Amino acid sequence: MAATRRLTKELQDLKTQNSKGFRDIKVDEQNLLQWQGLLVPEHPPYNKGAFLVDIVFPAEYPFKPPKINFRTKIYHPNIDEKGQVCLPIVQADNWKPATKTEQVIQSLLDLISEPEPDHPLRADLAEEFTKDKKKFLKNAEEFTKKHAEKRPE
Amino acid sequence: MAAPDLNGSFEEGSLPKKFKVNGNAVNGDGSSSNGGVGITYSEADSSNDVGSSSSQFPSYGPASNSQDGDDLLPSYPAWQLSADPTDYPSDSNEASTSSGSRGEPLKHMLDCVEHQYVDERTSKQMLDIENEIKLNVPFVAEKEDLSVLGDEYSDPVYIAKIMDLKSKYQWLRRTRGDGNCFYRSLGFSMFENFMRAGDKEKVEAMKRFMVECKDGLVELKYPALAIEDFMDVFNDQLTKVMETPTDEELLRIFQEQGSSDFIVVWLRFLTVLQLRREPEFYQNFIENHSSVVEFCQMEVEPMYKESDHIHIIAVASLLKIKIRVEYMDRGDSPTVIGHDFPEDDAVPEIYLLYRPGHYDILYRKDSD
Repeated sequence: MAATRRLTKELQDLKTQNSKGFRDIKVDEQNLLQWQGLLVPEHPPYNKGAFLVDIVFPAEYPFKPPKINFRTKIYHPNIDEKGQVCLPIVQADNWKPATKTEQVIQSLLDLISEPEPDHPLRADLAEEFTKDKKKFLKNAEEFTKKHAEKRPE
Repeated sequence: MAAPDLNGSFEEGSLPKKFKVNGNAVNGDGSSSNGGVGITYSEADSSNDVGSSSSQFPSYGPASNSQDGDDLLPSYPAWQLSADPTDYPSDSNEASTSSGSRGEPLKHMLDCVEHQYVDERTSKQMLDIENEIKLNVPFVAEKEDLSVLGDEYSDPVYIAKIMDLKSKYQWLRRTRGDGNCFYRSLGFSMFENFMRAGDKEKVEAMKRFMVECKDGLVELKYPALAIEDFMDVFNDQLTKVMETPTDEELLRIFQEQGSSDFIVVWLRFLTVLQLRREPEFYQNFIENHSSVVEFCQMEVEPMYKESDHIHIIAVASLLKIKIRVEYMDRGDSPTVIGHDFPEDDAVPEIYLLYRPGHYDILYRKDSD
């Protein structure tokens, strides 16, 4: 299968790079299309925890984009309560077969560290972010401490 | 994006009334007066009636779906179309302090949610259409006698043009109308020409050139890891068809998604390479996009995006292959209009038939 060949390479690539922002990549050996990894943001308020993220590749990968879903709750204007995230790089009609998963992950990390309050999935958090950033940062930090996964050593 | 419709308009009757695959009419109901898929789509889209589009679609076959397929996609605000997150309108604080922004976050949330909703709905719709097409047309079909076209039209303008076409060409080979039809037609014709010529040295030279092109793309910062696969499949399959030079092998390569789509993507990248090499020249052809780079990202690299003159010019000049496209539309001319890429006196190596929104492969009378 085309997807397997490409994903095997991408996985090797990611593992040798040993990215600090996305660690502990777990892939079911029976099913290379389902990945899970730990997103470890560097910047406050999310640097008090880590976030489990699912990356699911369609059988038609790389001709169709992967889907991203947060397994860990996060207080962020661009990620809703179900863990869905609005990430332009993986929009179906804009997907490019040469986009690597590494680029998708980087784009996700960028969105985490710099929320897009103008294009939110959670309007309440976007409003708080723009109107009262201190309060937002405090809430986000507390939420992260309470709900996020432990950061790896 | 506008199709290179030379002098006709996209009007009722300009599309086949019915479409045949291997001699079986997909939908024998030639009486439908709905002028084209475009109209079907827009109706289905505005009425939210997913069912109607899938039930009506097959009657029009592949001839034009891909062009109109673009219309199905919701129009995203510019920021969503950018693959580069740094392109977002970024300074959020500035945005919030500007006056009258109270309703904005809500509006944007609705936009985003709506896009997802529309995305889901249209993707279901598109999946229906996709499945219909898959059932009816392989990526590349068997060769058919050109006279089959006569069964598709009753319009005298088209009948005259088909007569003209038949005076020069013998065979037609249909391709699936999924937005990749130009690249697939091109790839198939290239492979077929190599196979018929049987010149292994030329094939080796082409394969070496492909490696150079891959290096050129890597220099443009395309990730080698992702690019290589497409080039490898292209070269490997070219090797295979030279080892087993049969029509069956050639068809297999282009009918199996695992090879066919890879070849399509690779030809898209070759197009990108040429566009990026001569941006000053190609910039003149580009409307609606700010740069050649953006054009490549949005109109060339993604699968299922249609090809226009600019794509054909670019890939033909990179590969140094001469392509003749015969344009058949409802324009007043009694003959089809041939367009050569590039425009020189050389004899074309590849012949394509263009009907609004779709390319198929043509074979000259003197070909076997």
